[in-house]
Amino acid sequence: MTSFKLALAFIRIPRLFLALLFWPLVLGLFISLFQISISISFLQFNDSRAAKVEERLQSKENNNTWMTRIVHGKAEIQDPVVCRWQGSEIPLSKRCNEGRYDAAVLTDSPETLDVSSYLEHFGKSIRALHICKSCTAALVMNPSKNEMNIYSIRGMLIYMLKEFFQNKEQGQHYVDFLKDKEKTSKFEGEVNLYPGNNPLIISLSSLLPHLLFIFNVATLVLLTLWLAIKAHTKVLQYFSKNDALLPLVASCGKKSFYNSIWVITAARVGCFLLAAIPVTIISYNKLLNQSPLETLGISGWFLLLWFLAIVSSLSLVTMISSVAELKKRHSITGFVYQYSPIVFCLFGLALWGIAIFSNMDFSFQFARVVFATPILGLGPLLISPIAEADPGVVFIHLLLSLIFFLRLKNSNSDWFASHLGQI
Amino acid sequence: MINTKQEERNIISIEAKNLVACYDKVEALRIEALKLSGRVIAVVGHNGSGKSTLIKTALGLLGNTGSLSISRTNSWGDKTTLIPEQHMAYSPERGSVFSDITVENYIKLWCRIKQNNAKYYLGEGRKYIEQLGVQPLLSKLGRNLSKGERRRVQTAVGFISNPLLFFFDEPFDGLDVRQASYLAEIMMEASTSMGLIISSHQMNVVERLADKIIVLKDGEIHACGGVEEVSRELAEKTWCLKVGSEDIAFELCIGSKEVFSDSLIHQQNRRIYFTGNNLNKAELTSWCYEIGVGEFDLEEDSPNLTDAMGYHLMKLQN
Repeated sequence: MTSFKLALAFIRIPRLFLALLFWPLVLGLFISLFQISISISFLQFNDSRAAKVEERLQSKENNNTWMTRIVHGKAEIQDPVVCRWQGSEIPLSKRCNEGRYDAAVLTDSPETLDVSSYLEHFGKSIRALHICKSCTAALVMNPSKNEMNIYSIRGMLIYMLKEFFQNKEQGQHYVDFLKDKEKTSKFEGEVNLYPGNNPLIISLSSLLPHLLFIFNVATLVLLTLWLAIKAHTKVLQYFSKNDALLPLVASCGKKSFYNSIWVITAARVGCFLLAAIPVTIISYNKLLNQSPLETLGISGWFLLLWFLAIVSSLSLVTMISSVAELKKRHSITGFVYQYSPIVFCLFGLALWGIAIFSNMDFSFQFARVVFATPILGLGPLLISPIAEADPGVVFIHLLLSLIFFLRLKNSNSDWFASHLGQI
Repeated sequence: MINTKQEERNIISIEAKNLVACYDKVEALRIEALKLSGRVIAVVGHNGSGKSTLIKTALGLLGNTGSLSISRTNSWGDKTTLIPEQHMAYSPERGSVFSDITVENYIKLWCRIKQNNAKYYLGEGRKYIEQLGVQPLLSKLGRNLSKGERRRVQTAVGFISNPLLFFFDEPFDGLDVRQASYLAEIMMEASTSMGLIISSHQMNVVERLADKIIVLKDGEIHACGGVEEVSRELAEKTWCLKVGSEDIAFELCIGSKEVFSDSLIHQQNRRIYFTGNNLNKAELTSWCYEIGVGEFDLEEDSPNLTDAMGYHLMKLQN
């Protein structure tokens, strides 16, 4: 109770309030909105359902893009003029004077070259096609050398416009292909991966939204971790910079003071999540017309358990990182201690992955042990919504992380008090 | 004037056994045994002798082995073991006020923490604000305070928490003579209701305030006890040589420093004071005759704390 009272008193210091609570709140809002808008755009752009792709192609039918407007102006788009240069390499007519949005094909026999394939290739992306021995243009093809050279930004624009028209033409073939694929998918039904012949299931049919969700959560988790570590050192530095650390710790008691820093750290992380989570869920609901839970096919209880397990595991990682920073901050190898939990997380994820995909008898049990181990299991825990993890293992992970965190906190409050001078 | 009844109250007892305190692996304090009681206890010693370390250890701010306990006995003889966060206040060497908030907000923070009432300083705590002249500083930002002002604010904050024991680390450092004297008066008054433990180099003020002294040397206790007792332990005798005029006294004082190089010598008006362990009347008298001092008067005196400590530090330096 004293710790909460202390934390509340500290937070009422305007500067600490701004730095510790208000800033994460604003940051949480911005980060969530940013990553959600990026994710949704990505999802929509990569939606490979035939109907969606056809819809996108329909929108491209309108040739009035900014590229066509630059190349052809407001006039109606016409087929390119073919200009065959002869003898003295002088264009035949005034209309065949070299233009800014023309292409050229170099050949030894401009009079006889069959241009149909070139016209088909460039389509309406150019105004004129010059067939010559050595003329210049924004984009020049040299079939004898098997190369195409772009000489200006205009040439680049022609090239992009050519790709655009080609895509449009080939798009219909793609839509037909997707329609065929959808028929096959309906026939196959839901595709699931059972790696390593164990009860773990990964749905391949809805992997992309799952991965995006995990990516969003991972970003939030990393930011939370960063904010938590920063909060811890920020409070200490603020007090020590003002020479207030010793009188405060003496008057409040080392344990209460140390705990109050953790309360502030939790409040900071809470503020960030308070801003980030509702925005994420509301954005998902509005833009996908489906809740993240439906998208992931998991229950609310599992999500809560998963969230609590992540928080407790993160708290433990933060504790180890911050204690390492405090204890080894003057050592050259200090950063190694600080980032060692993250290295262990990645190592745990690799171990778990190997165990999951190997076919040995004990591998699945080993994967469960890795999952349940604090820090080592943080990676698998993070991706557990796509892997339909056993809630029991998630619960053990939560419990162990919490126990380790509390033990570490108590043992470190004494160390903290006896090293105040170094802080 | 403090009456006897008040003197009987607030007896602070320090007991330590095999106490060792370290900064990292460097030993800064080693006390085999200490048992001392008093109202105002001063911790003195050379720079780096362990004064601040002793205070920090008593406040639980430093890890230590062995035992150190501080208790208070009230006028009814009830003994209470003092716990830092409940009964003690601490004013550190540099004073501490947050640089980016006003003094008023800083005081409010402490009132919230220690009294559960942000406005305590406007009611019961007001007397300390007024006594220490903090009122005009309330709207100032911490970074705009002078060292002396920071010290006053931190002292006021300490008093506001109504401690049973108040630790002062170098309280007079950075204060002018008038301010130091005023703070000493406030401390003297406060000592009627709370115990004080002071670490200081200002022996003249310490002598006025303290009834018990702990002298530290290289992290160990060199002497401890009552003021007179400790002064005698540090320097056996002080001889007072009274001569005819101030000018003669001045010249004699300069000349004597070469002859009695292992003694502390200073002049005050027509008197020259010699403090040391190896001085005797015959030696001083023969020196006076030798250099032709006409009329003089030589008297033995008890060394005061300032001289005794000065002599102790001089010996350490040599």
